[in-house]
Order: sequence, then C-alpha cells, then structure tokens
Amino acid sequence: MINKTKILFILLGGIFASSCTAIKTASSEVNRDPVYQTKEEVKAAIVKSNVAIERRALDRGEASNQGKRSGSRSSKYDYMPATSYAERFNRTGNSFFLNDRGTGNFGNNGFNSWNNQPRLWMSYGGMFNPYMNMNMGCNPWSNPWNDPWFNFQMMQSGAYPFFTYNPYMFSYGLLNNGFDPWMMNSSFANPYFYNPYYFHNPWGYGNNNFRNTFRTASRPTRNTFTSARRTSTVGTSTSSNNTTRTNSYGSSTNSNTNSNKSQNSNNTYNSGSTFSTGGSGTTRGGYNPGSRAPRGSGGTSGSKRR
Amino acid sequence: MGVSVSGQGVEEAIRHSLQGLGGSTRSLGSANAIGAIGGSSSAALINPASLAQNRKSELHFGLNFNSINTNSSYLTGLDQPNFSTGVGLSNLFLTIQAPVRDEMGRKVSSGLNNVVISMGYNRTMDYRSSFVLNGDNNQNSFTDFLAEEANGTDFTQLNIYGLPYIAFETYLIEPKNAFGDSFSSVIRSFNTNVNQEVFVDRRGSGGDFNFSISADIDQTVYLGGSLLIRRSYFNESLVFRETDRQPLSDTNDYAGLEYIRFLETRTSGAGVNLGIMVKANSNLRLGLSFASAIRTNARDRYTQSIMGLYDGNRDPSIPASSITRTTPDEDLDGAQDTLQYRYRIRTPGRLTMSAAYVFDKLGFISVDVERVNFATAQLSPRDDTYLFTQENSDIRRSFKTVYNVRLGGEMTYGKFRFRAGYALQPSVFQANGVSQTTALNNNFYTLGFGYHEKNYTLNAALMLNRTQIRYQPYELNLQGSPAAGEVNSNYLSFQFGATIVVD
Repeated sequence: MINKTKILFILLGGIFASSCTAIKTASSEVNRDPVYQTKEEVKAAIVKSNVAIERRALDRGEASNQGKRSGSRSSKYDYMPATSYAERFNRTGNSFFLNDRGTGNFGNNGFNSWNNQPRLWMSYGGMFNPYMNMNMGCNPWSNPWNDPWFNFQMMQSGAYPFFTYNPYMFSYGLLNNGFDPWMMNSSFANPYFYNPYYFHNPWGYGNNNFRNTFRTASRPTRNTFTSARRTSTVGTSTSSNNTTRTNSYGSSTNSNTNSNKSQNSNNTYNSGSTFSTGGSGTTRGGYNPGSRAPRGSGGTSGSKRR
Repeated sequence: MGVSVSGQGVEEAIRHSLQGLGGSTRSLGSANAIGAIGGSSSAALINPASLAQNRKSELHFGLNFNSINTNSSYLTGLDQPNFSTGVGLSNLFLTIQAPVRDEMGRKVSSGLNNVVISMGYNRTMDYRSSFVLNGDNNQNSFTDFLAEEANGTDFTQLNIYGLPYIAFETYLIEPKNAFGDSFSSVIRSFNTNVNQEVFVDRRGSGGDFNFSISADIDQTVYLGGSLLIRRSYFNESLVFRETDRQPLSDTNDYAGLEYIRFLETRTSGAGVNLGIMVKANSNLRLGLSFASAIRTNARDRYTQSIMGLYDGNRDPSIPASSITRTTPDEDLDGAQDTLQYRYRIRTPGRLTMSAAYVFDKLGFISVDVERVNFATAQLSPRDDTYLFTQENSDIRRSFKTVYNVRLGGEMTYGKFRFRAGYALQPSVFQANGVSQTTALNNNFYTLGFGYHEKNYTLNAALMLNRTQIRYQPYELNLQGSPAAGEVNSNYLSFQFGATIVVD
C-alpha cells in the first residue's frame, strides 16, 4: 500500500502534492462509492439515515416512539409531553378546520349547515375576484346566484376562480346562447364542442358543406416499398485464411458455401456441353456476339420474377 | 480454403449478434469488466443484479467522440488508408433507489433492504467504418460473378429486382448459345486484366433500452432482471468499380462497370437479462448473468444500380458505350423503387461469469468471461415463406462458440479513480487457420479516469479497438474467388460521462 502511494506520488507528484490534505479528507468519497462500500458501512449508513428519519418525524409530531424516551414502558410518567410545535398545536385543538368554538361540537364547523354561527373564514362580501374586479362567490347566504359554485353560468365565466382553464367555459351558454342545465344536451351538434366523434373533421356534421373535406385533404402519399429479397450478396466478411494476398486458384472446395444457387433447382447450367473448361473458368465465351439475346423485354411484368 | 458466407441475412445475423464495448464511461474505462462490480449503468447490459448496490438515485449520461482509421489492401494494390470521425450518445440512464422500509418508515438493513429500478439507453455497437480496396485482378472479373449469379434461370425469367437482371440488361452478361439459362461474361477472352476498386462506407449504431429491477438481500446477495429492447440502424454505401486494363488490344467490348448499392438495415427486438451477484466475503465478488437470445425484427431497404461501360469500337450489337440500369420503377412514380425485405434474426444468448477482487478502498480487479454461441444465430421469414434453410445451415457450419474475455481494474486515490482494461473477442469463424486466429480477433484496450464528488461524478475513458477483417467483394464457385481484401481498423474513442445524484 505504501509502495502504491509512493508510486502515485511520483506519477502525480506536482499536481497532487499540494492538495494532499484535501485528498485525505476526500477519502470519504471512496466510502460513498457503492462499489467499495462494505456491508458494515451500508448498515452504518442505514442506521445514520434512520436517526435522521426519526428526528424528522419527531419534528412533525408523528414519531411513533414519542414518549417512550424514559425507557420505562409501564410507568404513567412515561408519557412525556409532545416536543413539537405541530403536536402541541394539534393537542390543544387550536385547529382551523376542527374549530369547535361556536357549539363545542365538531360536527358544526360552519361548512355543512346554514345556521351555524361561527364562520371564521369568510365575510359576507365574498372573495375579491380580479377578473371581475369585485368580490365574488363563496357566499351562498347573501347571494347564491353570484357564486360560481352555485350558478352554472357563472361557472363558465372568468368568475370561476379555481381552474386556470375551464373546459366548459366556452361550450354552452356562450355559443348556444342559452341555459343548458343538462350540459351535454346539444353539444354533439355543436362542432366547436370537444367531441371525439368529430375529432378528424370539426365540420363533419349535419349538412355542412365541408363535412366531407377530410377525405380529400389526406396525408401525403406514403412511401411504398417493393418487397424483394437480396439474392446476390456482394461484399461479405470472411474468415478466409489466405493471408498471402495472392489469388488462390485450382481449389474448388468452396462450393460448400454456395448458399443461393441451390434455390434454383434447375441445374442445367452444369451440364452445358459448350462450357469451356480451360482458362479462367466457365463464364467466358460460348455465345455469338453478333446475335445477343433481346433486351428490354421485361421490367414490369410479374412473370419476370422467379 | 476458408469458409465464407453468402446470402441475404447471414452477414446481418452475425453483425447484429456482435456486441462491442459501450455503455457508461466508468465501465468503459475498465473494459466493461464489471459483471461482479456494477456501480454504473452498463451493469444493465452485463449483470443487472449489481445495480442494487446503488444507494442513491442517479442520472448517468455519456457522450462518445470517435475516429476510425482503416488501412486496406486488396490483391496487388497499394494499401489504401481511410479516416472518419463521429459523435454519439453512449448512455443515458436513470437509476431510482427505493430502500425497503419498515412500518415506521425506517430503512431496513437486513433481508431484502434495497430495490433499484433503472431505465435508460446504453449504446453497444458502432458500425461506422469506411474503407477502400483497390487492386489489379488478372484472374477474374466481377462480370464472372454476375454470370454465375444468373446461371440457372432462363434470361427471360430473371427476377427484375435481382442483380442478374440488371447485369443482363446492361449487356454485362450474355446467355450462351442454346442454353438460355447459363451465362457468360461479356468478356469473351479467357484473359482478364482489370482494375478493381471497392468503396464501402458504413454508418449506424446499435444499443439497448433497458428497464431493470434489482434487489439487495442482506448486502450479500444481489438479484436483478432487466427487460431490454435492442434497436440498431445500419447503413452501407457500396461502390464496386471495375476498369478493363486492355481496352483495345483484344476482342473484348468491355471497358468497365460500376455497381452501386445502398443498404439500410433496421432491427428491433426484445429480450431479458437475468443476473445474480454475491459478495462472497468483503473482498471477493462473484457474478453470473444470462442475457437471453433476442428475437429481432429486421428490415432491409436497398437500391442498386449497375452501369456497363464499353469500348468505342465495340461490337455493334451493344447499343451504347454506357448503359445503366437500376432497380425498376414498378409503381411508376418516376423514381427507382426502394426494395424492402423484412425478416427475423434470432441473436445468440450470452452467459457471463464474473469475478472481482476488491482491495478494500484501494481499487479492484475484475474479470468477465462471456460465452456466446454464434452458431445459434438464426434467420426466419417475416413476410414470405422463404425459410433461410441454406443460410441457417451456413451459420451453423461457419460460426462457433466463443468466450469473450474482459479484464479491468480500478485504482482509487481519494476522489480520483484510475482505470484500465483489456477485452478480447475471439474470431467468430469456425474455420480460422492457425495463422488467422490472432488476426481476426477483436482487441479492445481502454483507459479511464474518474473524479468523484459527493453529488456528482465525472468520468473519461479512452478506448482503442483494433480489428482486422477479411472483406470478400464477391465469390465465385466455378473458379477461385479473388483473395479477400484485408481491412485493418483502429477505432479510437474518447468518452466523457457524468453521474449526477438526483436524490
């Protein structure tokens, strides 16, 4: 190990000598590297992280073993006071939503009845709505028709404060110019209403002149490809052990690699008596250059395929 | 005599069964020898079990800059150098750690105590390569190959989408007298003296999209499974040019030819990767993983054209000095049709055995041995009934089981990591000669550097991949094929990566 350190110092001397201390303090980065973490280190890290988890839970007032710190599980003194602000807040009942000041009854919290007096949360003026530049809504006791929760047409307007985009905003009343309590009543006839059945053509309803336009405005012609297997292979990788970079002739044992000839069961070409066997093979001569076979006869006929 | 393969798909089946080094920068620095180490996103490629060691949620990404330098020789020609560069995303990966908790919300430290879910992309193959072969051939011509290809089918029945048809239409081959289905080269003389030039330009890459889940049991046994979707894109431009070197001195009409083929192959397939890793003691780690065979849908799209060139004083039965034919325009849209063929490739499974020794906090050395039986690669049809019987038996006969070895190590020094690695992928061919075994091996040499901070890690890696391939422009059966060209390539890549702790 010492040797290794020395070697490293030789290799990296100038660069690392000055930062030697920093490197030593940085060796914890090795401990953190999952590749080098031992079982003990992983367990120690888990324990450490669990301490943090429990501390956070205590701070939230959720710790399950709160009050057990005395170490005595049976003593009545074992139950120690909550340590967190949140826990104290909950225990004293000083909760906004669990308010029982008015009636001493948690059921009457001002949310579910007309005549409960304690309403901590809203004046009669409602809530200021900047879009309408006035106080709006949330006030069924003074003017329910002004409340977007209550009034359908208000729901479609900018008075409705709870969504940035109201999908019904422009659907019914504004376009149909009427009250539509059933909401879906005539919307299928309304081309501008979001309707999956008219998804491809918003004008495709009734006798609209443009109802069939989507048929002509089609996508550009898709490329079509002709299916054809490559029967001739030009350019292959090979393990040929001919390393002398000279041509090798005279051997005919490579016919075992003839993969695509044998599909053509018509082997008459092997029996042709006009084959020349001399020279550089059998693919020379044997025809009259003055009377070549006719060209250009094929090309589109299916019968040309073999 | 060596064995070589031909036919649609054999080349593709092997190409898409190969897997280079890739993925995260940290693992690349130690040549991906991380089956028993983990600690990076490449673990999903090799052994997903080791991902469960992660105790943080992390985002990994890596960017790869590479250059490829080839030197080719063919026949008697001079060596032809070629150079190209590229940039690519090597990995983008998110690991989400979910510690197992008790009912109080505290982390559990024994039994099943950690689950890591991860997803992302790791690139494993870069197909980019570009080379030129040039040499004089006085034994045979590409036109002999064309004639052999056409043999067996009457000239009136040639497949209009095939190479023999366009060769026939451009007068490069001619049916023999009284034998409409046996062909001769347009070169009538038995003497051949042609210059041949091949230009190949390949692009594309392949990689895995992973979704992995892994579990830590007692910080001793790690289990993992990963669903992977492998996608690749391969694009090749091939130009084969032949020039007659005895233009006016003989009875030949032939002046030369140019064959051009554009090929694009896309594949997409799914498989699983299952792994286990055990910390035998505080220093020794063992891993075992199995990546299943991947059933891949492949689609080739290609166009080809051929141009026959003839002497000015040619026989008048050849109507022009330059005649070009392309794949036909059957849909009459004015452009040559792109031909398409869809098929399936089943790539071989991989069994990886790994071992690593961790020198406490000082570093590790690690070795992965990966068994791949390339003979189990298989082709099958998708749209038609062509059964690839011949091709599949070619694959079984030509390829073999190989043991890929990856060796890697890392040394720590505070926040710094120094890595090195070597990987060997032996030749996949069965019939290597003794002298060939070394030559067709695929050697990877890597170096890496890392800087670890509490909330982030920066890594860099350098990889040199030295390969030699034999490239056979065409093969003849009725006579000897030209000797394959040798292509030596040095693929140098620099990768930069970062890991950011997100939680």
